[in-house]
Amino acid sequence: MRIKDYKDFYAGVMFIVFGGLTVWLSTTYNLGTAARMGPGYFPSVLGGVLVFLGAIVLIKSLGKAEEGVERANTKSMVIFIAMMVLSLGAGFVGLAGPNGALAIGTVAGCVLAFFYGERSLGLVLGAVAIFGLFLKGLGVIVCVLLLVFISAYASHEFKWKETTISAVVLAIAAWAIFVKGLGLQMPTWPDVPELQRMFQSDVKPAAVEAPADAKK
Amino acid sequence: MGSLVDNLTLGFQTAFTLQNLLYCFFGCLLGTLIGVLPGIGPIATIAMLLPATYALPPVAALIMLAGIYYGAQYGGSTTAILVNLPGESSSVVTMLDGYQMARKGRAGAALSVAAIGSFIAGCVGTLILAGFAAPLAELAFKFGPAEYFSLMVLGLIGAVVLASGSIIKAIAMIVLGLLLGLVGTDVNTGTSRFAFGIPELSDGIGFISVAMGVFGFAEIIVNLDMKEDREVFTSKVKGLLLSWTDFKDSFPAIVRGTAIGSVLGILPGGGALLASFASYTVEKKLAKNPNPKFGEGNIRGVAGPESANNAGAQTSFIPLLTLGIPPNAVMALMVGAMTIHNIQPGPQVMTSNPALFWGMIASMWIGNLMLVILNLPLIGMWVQLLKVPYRLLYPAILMFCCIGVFSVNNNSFDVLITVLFGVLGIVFIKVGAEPAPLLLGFILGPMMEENLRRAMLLSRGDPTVFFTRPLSLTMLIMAAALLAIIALPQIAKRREETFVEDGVAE
Repeated sequence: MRIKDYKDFYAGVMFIVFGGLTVWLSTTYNLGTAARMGPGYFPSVLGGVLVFLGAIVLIKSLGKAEEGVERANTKSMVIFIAMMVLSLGAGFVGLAGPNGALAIGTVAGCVLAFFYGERSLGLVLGAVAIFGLFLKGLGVIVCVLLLVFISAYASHEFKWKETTISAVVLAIAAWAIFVKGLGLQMPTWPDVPELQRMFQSDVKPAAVEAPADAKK
Repeated sequence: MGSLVDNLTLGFQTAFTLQNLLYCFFGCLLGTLIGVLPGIGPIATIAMLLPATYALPPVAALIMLAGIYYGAQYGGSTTAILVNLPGESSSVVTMLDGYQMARKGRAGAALSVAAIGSFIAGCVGTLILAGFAAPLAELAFKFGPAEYFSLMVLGLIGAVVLASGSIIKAIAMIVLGLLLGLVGTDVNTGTSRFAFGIPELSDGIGFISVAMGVFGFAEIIVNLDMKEDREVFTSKVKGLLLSWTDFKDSFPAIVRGTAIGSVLGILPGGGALLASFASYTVEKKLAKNPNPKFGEGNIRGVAGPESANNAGAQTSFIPLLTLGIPPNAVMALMVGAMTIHNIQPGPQVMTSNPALFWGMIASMWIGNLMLVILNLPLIGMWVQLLKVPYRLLYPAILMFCCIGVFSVNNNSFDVLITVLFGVLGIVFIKVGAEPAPLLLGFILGPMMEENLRRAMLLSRGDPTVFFTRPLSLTMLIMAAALLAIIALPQIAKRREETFVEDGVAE
């Protein structure tokens, strides 16, 4: 069997993987009956549908290759999957508190992407992950500087002087708009105790912060 | 419930306070500011600016959001005309003739006709919205869980129709979205689903993280990887006034576009994109010996689609406000925004909080007016913004995104999840799966499960309930008919051709 359409082939694989994972995970929840559906009912059905749809897409993508069909980049697909496995896997294992592990896994995934051909993806998302990880510990000024420098490096026309100016301007603007103006809760300067807490593995600092009432 | 006039009076009284007018103005301004940036559509713009409305009272916040939405739409058209880069899918059509007009030195006329067309369409759309809202809300009170479920099925199928590319992939993306929406605590039993023991995930994935990651971050990365030169017609923007011939040519197109947009906007799955495509096709068919030809800078090719797109944008609020069902991805974001302010969209909003409801409708009209009286004079400023090189713009955009995501729950976890969705967004682009249906499914997932469960509980596990209740049956038949129509070989081929021919091959 040859692959006719690489885009569809990978799309099919993606849907099958997501659907399969859902069905597999749903087996741990109570199915219930049609009249009284348990938490596992709707996701298992949908997961099954997704596997089915993915299979159709996959089968339709097979066949004799036509001239001039672009080949999708298998290497980048592997990297994307590795990134997701790294960050979710680390989050699942939960070293250094769930947030810390997720962050370390995510940053590691971005570093991997940077070195293996997905330069701008690794830099842009890596900058964001570092920003998210350190905002509470390092404060908004340092984090914006880091974010701007790392992400700007992804551009093909990166210039040190220009980036320095824009980083400083943006850091001041972020502080003025969000901390002073809108009064959002984030430290301006590095907060050493918070930083130390982040790297202690036995306590879970960020997780206790009443996530329940934040949304409802 | 009073008469239409009473209601609108109440609305304008609410919206015409100095404070609310200011928020509407800032919303339009910010929306245009971000929307004008190439590659950033209304979805990403609204997601980015949403945090700016958290601190406001609900009415002001929604008014500002409506302003942001219109601003973003108009900003997208400006970019399409001047840079030939669509900020959003509905601007793709504007690009065809708008950019050609700009190349011929008529950028000013194109921008004016887009603004005027949008305004006229916006006025009509607001009136339709106000007129239809009350009777439709009455109808909504007759809806049981079975009807709601079928309506959502219809809406989701409708969303498939307008996704370009493979139908099966679009349906699969909807299902994936529905599943992502289920992450978190199950409301009926309290079981934590797909949370992997991560406490933040038991609250569910934030819709801002999904929208920002898939639409914002992924688009920035794709833009970075493309190294093409853009040609910006910045020096040639003058002559905003339309000539009499321009006016005579474009006015009928505006009227037709408004009519098409208003109708298509109400349909589930409809909205701006479908409306502008339909209008462009109609204008092209109706024009005899067009001069210049369509695709070479015909003013009607700008006037029609721009009006249709704005009318559609306006009337797509109808299903959201009366039934609580978002008909497209932008409206799905509005649901999220309303929930943050503790408003459950649906027919009860009109009765329980009439000032908010009518105030929002009035502010939509004001938002449209703001666009004409502020954005046209300010066009020079937006053009200057387009001159700023992308390498300086995107770190700034990223910063606003990051702080925005962080401030939803004051939580670094949300930022990390957004990164993951950024990776997913890139994967979607690489495998050619359009993400807009996913976002719609994501918002509808919990609602759909809830209504399915309730309907099945009431019918004691008998699935025929969806077919025996007439309203529910009608909607399911409509959904099946829609699917059958787009699956027919000839139409499937025509549909493909339309998308390819009009330059949306992706």
